Amino acid sequence: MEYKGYMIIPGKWEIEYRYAAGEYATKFFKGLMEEKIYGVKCPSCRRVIVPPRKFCERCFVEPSEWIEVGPKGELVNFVIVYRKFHGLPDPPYAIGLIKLDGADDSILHFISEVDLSSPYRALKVLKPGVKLEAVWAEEKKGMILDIKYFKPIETG
Amino acid sequence: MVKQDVAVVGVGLTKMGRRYDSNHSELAWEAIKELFDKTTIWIDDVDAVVYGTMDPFDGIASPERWDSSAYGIARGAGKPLVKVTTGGTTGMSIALSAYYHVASGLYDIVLAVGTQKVTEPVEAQEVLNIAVDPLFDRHTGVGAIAVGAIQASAYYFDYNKKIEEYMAIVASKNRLNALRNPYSHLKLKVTPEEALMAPYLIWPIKLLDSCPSSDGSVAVLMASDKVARKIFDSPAWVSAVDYISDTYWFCCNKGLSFWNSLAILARRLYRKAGISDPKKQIDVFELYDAFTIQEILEYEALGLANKGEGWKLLEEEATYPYGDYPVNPSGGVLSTNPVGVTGLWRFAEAALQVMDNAGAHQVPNVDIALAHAWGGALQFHALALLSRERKLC
Amino acid sequence: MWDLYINNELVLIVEHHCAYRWCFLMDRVVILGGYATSMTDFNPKYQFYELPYVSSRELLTELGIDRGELDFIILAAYDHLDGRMISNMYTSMASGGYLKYESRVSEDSLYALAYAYMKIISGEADVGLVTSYATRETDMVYASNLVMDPLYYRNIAMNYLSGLALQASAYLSITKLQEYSDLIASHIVSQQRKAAANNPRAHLKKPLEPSDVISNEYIIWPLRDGMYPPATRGAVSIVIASEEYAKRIRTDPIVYIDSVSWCTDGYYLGNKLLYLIAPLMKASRKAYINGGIEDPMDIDLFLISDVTPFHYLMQIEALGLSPPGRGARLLERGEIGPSNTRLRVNPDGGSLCTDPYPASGILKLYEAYLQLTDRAGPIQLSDVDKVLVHGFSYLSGASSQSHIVTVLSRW
Ligand SMILES: [Zn+2]
Repeated sequence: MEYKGYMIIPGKWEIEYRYAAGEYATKFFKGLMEEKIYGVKCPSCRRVIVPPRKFCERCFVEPSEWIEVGPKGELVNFVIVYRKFHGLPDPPYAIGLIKLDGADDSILHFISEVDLSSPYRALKVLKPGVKLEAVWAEEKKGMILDIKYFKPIETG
Repeated sequence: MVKQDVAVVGVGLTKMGRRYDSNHSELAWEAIKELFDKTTIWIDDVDAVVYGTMDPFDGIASPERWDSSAYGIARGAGKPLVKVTTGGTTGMSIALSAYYHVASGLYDIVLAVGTQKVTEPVEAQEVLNIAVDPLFDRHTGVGAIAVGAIQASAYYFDYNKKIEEYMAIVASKNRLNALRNPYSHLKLKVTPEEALMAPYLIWPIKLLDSCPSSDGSVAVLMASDKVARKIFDSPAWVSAVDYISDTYWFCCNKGLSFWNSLAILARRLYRKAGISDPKKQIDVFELYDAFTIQEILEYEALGLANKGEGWKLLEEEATYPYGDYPVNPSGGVLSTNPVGVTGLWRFAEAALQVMDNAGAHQVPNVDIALAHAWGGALQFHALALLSRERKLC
Repeated sequence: MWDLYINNELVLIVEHHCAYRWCFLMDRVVILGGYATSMTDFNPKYQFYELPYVSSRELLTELGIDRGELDFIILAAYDHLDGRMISNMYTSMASGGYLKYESRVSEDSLYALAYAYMKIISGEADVGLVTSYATRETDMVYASNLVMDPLYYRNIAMNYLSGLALQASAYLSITKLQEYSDLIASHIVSQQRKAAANNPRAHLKKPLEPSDVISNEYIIWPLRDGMYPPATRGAVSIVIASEEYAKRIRTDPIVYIDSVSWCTDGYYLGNKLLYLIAPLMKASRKAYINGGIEDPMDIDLFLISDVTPFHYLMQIEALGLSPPGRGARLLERGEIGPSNTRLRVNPDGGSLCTDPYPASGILKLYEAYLQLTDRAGPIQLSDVDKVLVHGFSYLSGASSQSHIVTVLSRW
C-alpha cells in the first residue's frame, strides 16, 4: 500500500489472554448458566452492585451478601448503532444500561426485538424507564453472552 | 504553595491529520524541531522528559522508547524519562506530571511530549472496545462513540428533546474555528443545518457530532520560576492543576446528563486557584469535546451555565470566539483528535492564548485560560489553569 | 566513583548543579508502610483489578488510614499486559481512587513512587498510595515484542528476553568471560535461590545448586532456564507521606526517602554500549549526590533488579561498587552476596526468584522498608540504616535501559 508515495506496512496485534474471573465473577457467570443473575450488596452503603465486584469503590469494603436480581429490569439509557465498525457487530443494534429489579447498579447489554431501522421508530418503544427482560442463550458457556440480550416486556 | 512556580515557555506542534508521510518517531521529531526552532535553548538544556500516549492506538506498546531519540535521550548517557498513560486524559496527565517534576524542585526545565497515530489502526472503535471490561461489557462492542451517545441520549430524555439541534451548532462552530488554525485536521466549512442532516453513527450522535481520528505530536516546554523568563519573556504560568477519577461502572448516579465528576473537580480547582467567578475571571476555554454533546455538558459542569441550560449559551453565541466565554477557538477536539496527546494540545493551546501566540485564532486580551481533558468511561477529568500573572491571588 | 571515558566520550556526566539540591532534604518524604500479596504463579482466584484491591485494602487497614485521607493514587501498569486498554479505569477504583487525584505510569513501579514523591515534595499533597500488580494473564515475551517499533525491530522477533541476552552477551565478550559464563551465572542463580528459600515472601522457594542451573536448557544464549525472572503474580501497595503527616500518626521508626533519580538512554541498539548500564550510572550518581552519600560503599544494603545473573554484575558495576568488568571478582573473593558479606545484595532472592513486573520495584521497596524497620523475618539483616533500591523498566524498549534508583534511610 502506498499513500502519496510513502509506503504503508500492514500490521496487526493478536495477543492471547487468559482472563481470570475471580471469586465474584465466577459466581456470577455460574449463576448465568442456571439463568440466575446475582448481585452483591455493599455492607456499608447498601447498594446492590451488578455485575458483582469484590469491592464497593466508594466505601472500599468487600460486599459479602449475595442477592438474586432481575431477570426483569428497567432501561436507564441506551444508544443505537448505525455504522459498521470493523471487528464489531453488524448494525443496527442497541446497547443499553439496564437497572435490574433489586439492583442499584446498571448492567450493560444489547437490547433487541425492537424495530431499530430508524431512531424515530425505535424511540416509540425505547425510553428510560421501559421494562425489559433478559432473553437467555440456548447454549450456556459461562459468559456474559449467556444472556443473549434484553427485550421490552409486552404490556397490555 | 508549591516549591517552585511553573511556567510554559514554549510549544511545538505538528500538522495534525492523516500523517502517513512520517512514522511515529519522525512525527515526534517534527514537533520537537518546531519547539526548539522557536526557543533560545537547545535539547541538551532539558533536564527531564515526560511522555505519554494512549497505548494500543499506535500498535506499539511503548512508543516512547522508539521516539526517545527525538527527545535527545540518546545523547550522552541519557536523560530522565517517564511514560504516563491514562486514556483520553493522557495528554493532560503528561502536563500534570511535568508540572510536578518542576513544582517539586527536582527539575528546572522539563519537556512534556506525546505522539499519537490514531489513523494507523484500521478501526479506532475496535481498539477502543478493548478498553471495556472483557468479562462484562466488551461483547456489546461499546467504544468511545457509544459513550458519547449515551450522554446525548440521557440529555435528550432529561433536559431537552431538541438537543440535537444545539449539538449541530457546536459541530459548526468548532469546525469554523478550525479553519483559522493551521495545525488542525478537519477543514470543514459546515453550517448547523448541514451538521443536523449528517447520517447517524450511534443515535443520537451523527457523523459531524463526532471527532476525527488524527495523527499528531505535541511538545510543551515547562520551566521553573528561576529560568522561565530567561527562556521566554511572557510565559504562561500554570496557576493550578487537578485531576479526578470517578468510577468505571455506570452506577445510577454517575451522572450522564450532568457531568458530576467534572463539576466536583472544577470546584476544587477554582478554590485552589482563588477563582470565585469563572464566567468573569476565565477568558478562554480549551475543552475536550470529543462529541458535541460534551461541550454542552462541560459548559454546565464548569459553571458557565446552569444544569440543563448549557445549550442556551449557543443561542446567545456566548461561546463563539467573539462571545463572552470563547470555547475551543482552536477548533477543539471535534476538528482534531490525536487521542493521547489531545489533552496536551488543549494545555498547549491554552498556554498559547495566554502567551499571545495563538496566531489567527488568538482571542484578544486573554489573562487566564482553562484547559480540560476527559478520559476512561466518562470517569477521568484533568484541568489546568494558565495565567499571564505569576500569582493569581 | 568511576569516571568513565570510552571512545574519548565522557559517558558519565554528573551535572554540577545537582549540589544545590541539598536544600530539598529539608522537607522529607516518609514511607508509612507497605503490603504485598503472596507471590505465586498465575492463578484465577482474583480478577485482575481485585489484586490491587487486596493489597491496597490490606495496607490501609494495617495502617489505620481511611481511604478518604489519601490525597492521591499513583499506579504502574501496562495495558498490553493487562489485556485492557486504559486498565487504570478499573485499578484506580480498586486502589481507593474514587473521586481522587490519580495517575499511572507504564514503567517499573518505582517510577510511580517517583511521581508520588514529587507530588509530596512539591507541597501540594500529604499522603498518597502507590500500587502496582502483575496478573500474568498473557505471555510477556510476546507482549514485549509489541513494544518494539513495527518497522525495524518487531519483525526480528526482538523481545525483552532477547534484549537482556544481548546485553549479557556483550558483557561476556567485552570482559572475555564467555568461558566462565555458566560458572558465574549458575553461582549467582544458586546463591539467590538459596536466599529466597529463607524468604517467606518469595515466589520461587526451591533452592538450586549451580549444577542444577548448568544442566538447564538454553532459552536464548547465554541465558539458560532459571537465569531470567519467573512469571510472578502479585500486587504491592505502598503509602508515602510528608514527614509532618507521618509524625502525626506514627511514633515507631520512620523510613525516609532520601532521594529518587532515574534515567533512560536511546532506543537503537547499534549505537550504545550494551555492556555498560550508563543510565544506571547516571541515575545512581545523582541519587548519591541528592541523598548526601559520598561513597556508595556506605550503603548497608542493595536491592537491585537482577533480571539475569549478568545484569547482577553489570548493575553492581554501574552502581560504582566495582570497577567496570570486574564484578565477578567480588563474587570470587566472597565480598558480595545476600548476607554475611561486605556488600549485601538482594537478601530476599531478588528478581531472579520473585518478579511481579511491573510491581517489582515497589516490592523491593517494601522489602527495604521491612529491613529498615526490623520486620523482614527470617531474612532480617543486622545494622541496616541505609538501603538502595533499584528498579528497571525492562519491558519498555529494546534493551532499553530505563533505570531508577531510590535511597532510603532510617531515622
Ligand atoms: Zn458501598
